[in-house]
Amino acid sequence: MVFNTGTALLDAIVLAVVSKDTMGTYGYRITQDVRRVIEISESTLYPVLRRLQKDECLETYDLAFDGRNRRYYRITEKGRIQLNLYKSEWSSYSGKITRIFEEAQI
Amino acid sequence: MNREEFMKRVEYLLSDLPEEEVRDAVDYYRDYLEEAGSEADEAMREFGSPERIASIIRSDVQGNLEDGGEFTDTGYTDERFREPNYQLVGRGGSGENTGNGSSAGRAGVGENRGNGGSAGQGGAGWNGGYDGGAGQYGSGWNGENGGSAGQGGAGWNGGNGGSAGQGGAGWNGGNGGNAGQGGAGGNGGNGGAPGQNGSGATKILWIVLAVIGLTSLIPALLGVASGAFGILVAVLVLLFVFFLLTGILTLAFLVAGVATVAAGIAAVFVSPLDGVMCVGVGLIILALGLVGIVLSVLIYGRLMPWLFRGVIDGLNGMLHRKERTA
Repeated sequence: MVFNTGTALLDAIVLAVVSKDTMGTYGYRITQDVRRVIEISESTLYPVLRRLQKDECLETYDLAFDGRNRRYYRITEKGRIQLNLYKSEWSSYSGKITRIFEEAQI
Repeated sequence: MNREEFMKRVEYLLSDLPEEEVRDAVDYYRDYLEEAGSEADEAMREFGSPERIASIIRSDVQGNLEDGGEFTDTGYTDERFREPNYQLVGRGGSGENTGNGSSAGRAGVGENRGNGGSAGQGGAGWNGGYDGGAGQYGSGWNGENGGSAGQGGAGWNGGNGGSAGQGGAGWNGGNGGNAGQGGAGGNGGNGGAPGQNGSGATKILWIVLAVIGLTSLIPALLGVASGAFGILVAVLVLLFVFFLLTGILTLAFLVAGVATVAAGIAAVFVSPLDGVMCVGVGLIILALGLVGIVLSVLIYGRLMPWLFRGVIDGLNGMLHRKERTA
């Protein structure tokens, strides 16, 4: 990818990925889902998840799985509001960029 | 290194942080490798070293991850945790780190050419030697071993150890000692700490003076004089803290004594033995408070005025002597 973007977009992508599962999802799967769209290293998501958790956009709960605890992340009401904001911001932003590219003379 | 050794090492590296937060983080990465199953080896390779993971966790716990990462050509990365050596490189500014470990250029321009230490945090810095840091919130240059140059101001450190320019401008040309703390200072010799609490407005003047002084012996003489002054200031501050503590402790003893006696009297009606015991303890505390009062009277009434007079007389003497020689 040639474009550089800030952390807001990553926050938005993570929120979107987590929101797909109403029961929540866990760290490894979130990372793999995000990695399908953008390149991130396997270790970078922990601080992002922590930040979203601290901002009360995500909540966690532990569930026994395979003889150990698996930590699940679930989107909160605040997280949904935030995600909605990101979504509308993105569609207006990407719409404008797309338009300027379509008007471009190549 | 296997999975468990890896995580154990991470835990060990973070043993100074709050246990619960570390456990949360370590659990995350341990779970991650568990979930990865057959791809765990590849995930661990991408984790890099335990030191790198520990560094990510540490930054998170200490709350300075907020604006760390960004998307780049190769995807989302946090520059500070890029292998090898996961240095803190170029946050909010440009930084270059050609050595091992530590950080270059945080919110400023920094360059780090040696081993360890940090260059340019919140300003411009250059670190050409081993250990120590250059330019934290200011511009600094660090030429050799250890010490830091320019913390909160401009500093130059050309020798071994010691720090130059903390909160002001400083210059350090020799071995050990620090120059310019909270003001401007120049150190051309060995040891000693010149320039403590100088005025910020004159710092440029002082840099010039310090550079000129390099060729002469002025900085060395200045160093000895202000070094002695620095020690005097430190002693006075220590004394003052001691005085303050005596007053506070006296007050605390008195209040605690009264409270304990009162509690004891109340308790006598419920459980006579405990009550009497409580009153006794309260009286002992009160006695300590009374001793404190005597000490305080001595300190605040006699010792402190005497000290103040001594200091003022001393300063007067110094000033007059200066006038006479001028």
